[in-house]
Amino acid sequence: MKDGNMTASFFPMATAVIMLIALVCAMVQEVKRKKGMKTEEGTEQESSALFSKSYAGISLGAIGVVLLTAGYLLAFDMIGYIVSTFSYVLLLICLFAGELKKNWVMKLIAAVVITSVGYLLFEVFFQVRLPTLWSQ
Amino acid sequence: MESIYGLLGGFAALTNPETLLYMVGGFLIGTLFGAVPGLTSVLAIALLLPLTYSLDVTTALVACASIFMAGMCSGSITATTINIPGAPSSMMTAMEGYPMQKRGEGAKALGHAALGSMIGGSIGALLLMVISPLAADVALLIRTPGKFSLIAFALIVIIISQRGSITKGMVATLLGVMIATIGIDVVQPMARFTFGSSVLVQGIDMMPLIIGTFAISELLIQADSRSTRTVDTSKIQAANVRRRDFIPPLSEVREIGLIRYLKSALIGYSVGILPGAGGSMAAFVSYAESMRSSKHPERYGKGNPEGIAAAECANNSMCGGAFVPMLTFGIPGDPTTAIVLGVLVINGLQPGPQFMTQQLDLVAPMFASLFVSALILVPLTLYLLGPYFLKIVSIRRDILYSSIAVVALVGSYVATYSTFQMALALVFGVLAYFLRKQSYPTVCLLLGFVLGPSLEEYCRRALSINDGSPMVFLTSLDSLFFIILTGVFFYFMVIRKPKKGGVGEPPV
Repeated sequence: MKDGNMTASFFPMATAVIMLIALVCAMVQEVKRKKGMKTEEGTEQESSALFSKSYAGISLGAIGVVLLTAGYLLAFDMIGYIVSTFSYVLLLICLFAGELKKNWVMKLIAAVVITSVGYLLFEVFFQVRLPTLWSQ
Repeated sequence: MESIYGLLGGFAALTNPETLLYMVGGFLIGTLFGAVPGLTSVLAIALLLPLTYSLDVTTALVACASIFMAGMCSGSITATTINIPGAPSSMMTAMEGYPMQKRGEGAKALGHAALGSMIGGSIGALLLMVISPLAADVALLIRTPGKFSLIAFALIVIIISQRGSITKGMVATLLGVMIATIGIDVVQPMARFTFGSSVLVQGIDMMPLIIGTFAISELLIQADSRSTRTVDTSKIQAANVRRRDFIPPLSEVREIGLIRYLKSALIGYSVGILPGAGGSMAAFVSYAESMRSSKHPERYGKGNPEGIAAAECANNSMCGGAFVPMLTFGIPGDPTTAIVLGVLVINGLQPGPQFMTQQLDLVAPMFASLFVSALILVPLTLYLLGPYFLKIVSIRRDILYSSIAVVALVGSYVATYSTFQMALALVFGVLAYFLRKQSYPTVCLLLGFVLGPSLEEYCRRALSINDGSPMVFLTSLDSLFFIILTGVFFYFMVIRKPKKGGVGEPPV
């Protein structure tokens, strides 16, 4: 407070205080819930699929998507839309299909189709300029 | 009188072939996204958001309205045929529709759902056109302290209507409010939380937040699942449906009765106006009321078209109601209208009391689109595409989600031509993934983000006018009204929890 005016820091501080209280409540609830659930432990589902393992609650599939997307973002400006999108889509399809060996032709065709439809949609239909390999 | 001409002008705008194309296209996309389990119409509108930078605002709004309407009714397709609601709002439809499907009356159940959607959606759109100018007049009466209390009321109702956990809703909402404080302060020219980085001075855009929370997080969640198709095709019996099976017999419609349709539509519309409630709540309340007032409540849960009609009528009527607070107060109550608000803001428009009178030519086509989508496109889509619905909803997941990834990421790039926005979308996607994994409602995050800046601005303005005395919120009448209203809602929704009507908890 300053001359009856709130300073810029007041509101964030107020939200932070309420947030902390709410978080403490959430933690207490979670601990209570965990205690009640202890009896049901050991029933976690086991699956033999490729990406079903998890680390600290994050599944390998999700980590894969994040890494691929981060790589895509880096590549997007550098090597242009077409090359980066094609490889991104191809890898994503493999990840979602859960295997790398089967149906290569199908996957390649799908990646080409998605890349070109995206190109048509953005570049031709909405007339936005996408970065290209040769523009740099 | 003027507003009537304005509204009629909206229908005239739909005759423009390009606008019409966007309305029909939007409706088909909305139907697809609503019908496929794992996709929602919110996701469809979120993906459309970056494109609105290069679209005409009227066209974008028309498309949003038809996606919204389509998404509400198309969830009933999988709800009825395979007992998996394509959207949460069709949970109640599944309870009545699936038993009918097992009796071999699936097509008729879909017909009833479409009829209910058509009636509810049209009534909702009509009420929206009639009531929003009046609501705008009321909105003019609310001054700065009242605006603060109104937004606080909206946020609190959004939090307490989260059926999972109120604390989790609160954490998510506050997180949204906090993200919104990044950038230039709303009152003084002072940068906050930028950590010396110049890219954060502008603040966080709504677009990467929406893309992140609704598209990217969905990708991450779906990456855990191992099925190859969105719907297991083996579950679907290849029943040969003929088009005329979809038309519900007049005798059954008469049995449901006009009163029930009207009542369901009104319930849906009122639930829509409330912040945070949404389509699933509308369907649930209307279904429960329909069961309570029915002559044969024992038939419910065993494939009663009455229940389908009540639920579908209400959730489509909700669409009309949801636009009222967004357009007249600038307060969206659900994710869809929050994104529509984003579309308006991107185009430099700020909804508020005067918006309805000054910019009627912009929103009238949207109203018209809502009405036409419900009245004409819902039955037409069912009739034309009905026999193929089940083939449409079973999509290869790898191709579906990689397409969504490309549209979401490239979309967030083209909006501002910067990979920084793409990176932000990814960051918010990861954040929302963790929130969803721990069942924190992401809707609260978005609404907190949208409403946070106005909450802060009105709070500080009201206090500075009154020398920093918080008593002003109690002494000005409009503010007091909303504080009391908050108390009433809090009393009925938290302290005296509503009794469950024997049909279980409302779907989340």
